[in-house]
Amino acid sequence: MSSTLVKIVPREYRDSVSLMQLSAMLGKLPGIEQASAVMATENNLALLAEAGLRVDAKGASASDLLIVVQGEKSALPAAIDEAMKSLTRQTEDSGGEARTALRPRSIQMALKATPEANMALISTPGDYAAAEAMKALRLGLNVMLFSNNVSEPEELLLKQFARDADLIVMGPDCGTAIINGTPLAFANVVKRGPIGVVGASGTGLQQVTVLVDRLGSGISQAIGTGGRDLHRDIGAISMLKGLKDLAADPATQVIVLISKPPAAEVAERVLAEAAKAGKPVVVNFLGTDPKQVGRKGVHAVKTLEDAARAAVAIARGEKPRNSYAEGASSPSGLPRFAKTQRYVRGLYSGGTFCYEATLLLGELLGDVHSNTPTPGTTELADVWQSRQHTLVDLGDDVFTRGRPHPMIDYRLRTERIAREAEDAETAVILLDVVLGYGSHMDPSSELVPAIHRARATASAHGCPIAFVGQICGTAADPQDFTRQARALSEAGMLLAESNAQAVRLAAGIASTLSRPAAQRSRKA
Amino acid sequence: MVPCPDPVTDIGRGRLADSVGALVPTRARARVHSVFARACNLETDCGEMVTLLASGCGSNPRGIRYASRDDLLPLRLRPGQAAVLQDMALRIPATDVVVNFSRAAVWKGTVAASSPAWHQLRDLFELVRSHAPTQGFAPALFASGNSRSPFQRAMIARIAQTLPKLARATETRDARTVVAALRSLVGLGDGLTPAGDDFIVGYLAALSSRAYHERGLAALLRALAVPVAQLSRHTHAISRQMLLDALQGHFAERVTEVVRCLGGSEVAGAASRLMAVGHTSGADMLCGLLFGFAPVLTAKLLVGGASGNVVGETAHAPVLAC
Repeated sequence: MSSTLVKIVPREYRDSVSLMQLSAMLGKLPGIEQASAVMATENNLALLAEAGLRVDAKGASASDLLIVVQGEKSALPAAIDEAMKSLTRQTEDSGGEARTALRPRSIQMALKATPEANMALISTPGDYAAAEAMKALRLGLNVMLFSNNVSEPEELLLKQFARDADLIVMGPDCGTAIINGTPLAFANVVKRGPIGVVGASGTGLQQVTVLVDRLGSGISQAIGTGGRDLHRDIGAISMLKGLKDLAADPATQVIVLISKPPAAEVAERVLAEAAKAGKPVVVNFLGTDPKQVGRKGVHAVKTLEDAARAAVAIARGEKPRNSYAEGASSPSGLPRFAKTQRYVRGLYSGGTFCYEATLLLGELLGDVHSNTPTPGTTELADVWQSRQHTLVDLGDDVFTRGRPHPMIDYRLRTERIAREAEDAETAVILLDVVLGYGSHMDPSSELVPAIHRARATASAHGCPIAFVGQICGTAADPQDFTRQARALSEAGMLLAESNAQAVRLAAGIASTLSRPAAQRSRKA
Repeated sequence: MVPCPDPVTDIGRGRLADSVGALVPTRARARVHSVFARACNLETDCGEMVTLLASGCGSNPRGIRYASRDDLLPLRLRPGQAAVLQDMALRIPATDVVVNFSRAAVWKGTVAASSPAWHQLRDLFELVRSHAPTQGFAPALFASGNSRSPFQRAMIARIAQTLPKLARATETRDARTVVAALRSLVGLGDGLTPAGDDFIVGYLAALSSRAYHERGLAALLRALAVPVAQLSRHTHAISRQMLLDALQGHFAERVTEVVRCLGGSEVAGAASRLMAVGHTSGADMLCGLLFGFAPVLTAKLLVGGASGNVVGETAHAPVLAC
């Protein structure tokens, strides 16, 4: 039976973000079921009662802060202590040393303070982003446009202006780049080396750069273009500029180009330029047949992993293979699945990972549903509800309205894991874990408890679940790759080297389950 | 004892304000009430609030805005410190803060007349639906955000119960029922200024704007003045002042800007600036504004919102097609 403890903090005014962060922090403490930090108004007291928090707040007034925790009786005093410490810490932080440096308030001011800068990173609400990007371009700066909600006509205008000025616009909605060894936005800490990458896909760039690093090679530059760059109307202006720059860059020996399927005429233009680059170019246009893309000087591959492996091989003077896919060996220690369990449920934070997984799983298993469907797979009718094999990009706008991206905030994913665990048809839960700058600083701290809870739920129904995943990260990333991998492995997650391998592993498990029960038992 | 500088002769030494609210008293003793990075509230001996604002904040009917300081934390302001408003300057002797507002533009904060047609509001609805945070009023209207705490669920249920009544009462000019409905929203919700208070401010701004053309609404606003002022006792001092000023027809710049831009191409930018106020405050005020301009149609969104539809398809799509 749970208990409730209340703390009234008289005349305490904190900004809304602090109060919500405090509520969220308390709710995650061990033994706490729910917590709330609100102003003690009459209506809020009534609301707390309606929410099942029995609050005795005699003497509290609307000017007081009310902290309420509900859960195991023994855990409540420690939670209240933690709340008070947190409030004290916030006060001390805000009373710290006065900051004296004048912060630039315009791109022009920033450029005046740093005249050697040649690039502006713009992250403002979409309504203002195009105007700010144009200001930067007019000042002679290259632009990384992190902002989304910039219209396609605005994007075209910016890119045409940049092209005429021999500059590049990376974006809009460009979430990843590594320029001169510096990771920007969502990017990993990778070794510098001879491979330059241009990508119209954030997690695609992360996967390739991470795998290149793991294979012992390194990255000269990783240039994002924004997801629409290879649309017909934009015409790959940024990819062509990136290709041209890397071709001229003495530190780059091999170039990798990544995109979801481009418009046909745009693809042709990019490939023609790639063939003239004077350096080997590896191309991964996800979902297109490598045979139709490959030509002299252009090595086409099917997956992001293959792109990284081929690039490293070429940089080492070796002949690249057309495919590095190997049959997945059956993992040991799999649970005894129930007859009802047949399907893979992929819960992705990376859009390109989800897209690649949908392509591969569609080929391997069929009956795949996704909110980023590929040819031959089916669009998920209700994104909140899985159906047969389901792969969901949780970074899609429909999930991220008004909340942080799932690479930062794991709540959406942990909630969905819990829901999938309640489904007797779920056999495998497939995940990506993205490390690096910008991402959650300790993803295993969110996923491991979610995995344990899901296992407990599923086992109670007699339907034990397998967890399969990959960590997109390097040893130098701030999250401590080894610690993350160990924690996830100890929680029972089967970790693959890449997204493609994780999908094949999941497919391998599910394919044994999809066969009729009678056939399975005969084989056994 | 810290010597008090003379604000008049200290113009060169003190900071200049570029905006001062019309409701800022010219002479008062006050104390620092609460301090945030971009705003510091002062409470006068008469119980009125005055807000010292960082540059870049919108003007406010009770605000004194620094012309050039964009962060107040380095000023080491602390609750309880004495302050004096005199001779067109604010002084906080313990901190040497002197802000001269003799040359500042005066902000009255009255809203422009507007009676937008529904189709002129639809872009705003879309904006709120797409960008509003997952707390506050927007989730109730648009069912955005699927992970809700029991507190949030209770709040959404309360809103879903209240808004249809408030909508009907507003359109029938039934002051008594309006007050009853507002009674269940005052001080409601999380955040520094509870979401319910922000919503009411937006609602009152819309009614004030419509009242230029609709006599019945002007009468309704007059009828609400005293009972809603009494209701404001059920929330804390910062919110209370905001509600009292709204009842008198004085609003913050970010609110009046949206009303002024309604129907024009600049409305999206104005709405984005309003939504950037606080964590959910701006979005809640925007919800209140939309509701105040189209109460019945907005309340209909709750059919989708409360039932948990992803984007309120049942109510939202046909409405936007109008």
